[in-house]
Amino acid sequence: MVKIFIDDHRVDTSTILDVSQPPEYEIGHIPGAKLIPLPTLPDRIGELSIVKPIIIY
Amino acid sequence: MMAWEFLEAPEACGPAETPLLNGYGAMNKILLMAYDIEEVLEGFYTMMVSSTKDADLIPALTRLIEEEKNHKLELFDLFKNFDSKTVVRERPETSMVIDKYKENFSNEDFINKMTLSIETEQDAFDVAMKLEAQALDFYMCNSDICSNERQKEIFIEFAEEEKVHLIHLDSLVENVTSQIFMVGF
Repeated sequence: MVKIFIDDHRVDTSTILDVSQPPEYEIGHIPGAKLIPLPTLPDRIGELSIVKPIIIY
Repeated sequence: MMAWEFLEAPEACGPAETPLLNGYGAMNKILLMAYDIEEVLEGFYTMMVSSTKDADLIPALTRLIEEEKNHKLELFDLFKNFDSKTVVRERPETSMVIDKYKENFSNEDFINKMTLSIETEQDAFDVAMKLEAQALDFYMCNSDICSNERQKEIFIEFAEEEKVHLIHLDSLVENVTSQIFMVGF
């Protein structure tokens, strides 16, 4: 379902947000995903667009 | 978390930190790195064309080569406009080898190193998809932090095109058999 959404939508119409730790991200992540580790999310929430859907994993 | 397990698509891997755009010098480097990534992709697809035994794959791979070449040309134009004094039109790639990513390897050496582990066409497609995924990551990250609107638009466009390449490779690989892949060099 996520793959279908990503395939069907342009990369700039949504944000794929990866909240794992950098070592986990380096092992594997959805291509094009933005990394914001969960502990840092409150401080970096401003980096996310409020007008685009966000897929978080 | 192995994202691809539920995505049913190739995973991306690689450094969590990518170069930031901190001004003139950094942007210069980003464009050079982007050019280098495109050159590696073009070279890898060229190797695949010369090595595959499946003639049906050649038109699709040739189209990918042309698209990566077009990316190189667009990046070169961006670079030229950004810093025309330091570019030599005839051989822009002389300064395009990024040590951080390739441990002082030339593009050809880098591709050769990647092909060492390739035994089947499936393996070759796996490597191609990892390269495309890394290119997509690179463009998305740098478009996210790029303040120049023109460059941002181009990076997003390239990211979208690399994503389409991934989808295309994913569909091609479904038809690839596990026959032995003859690396041509």
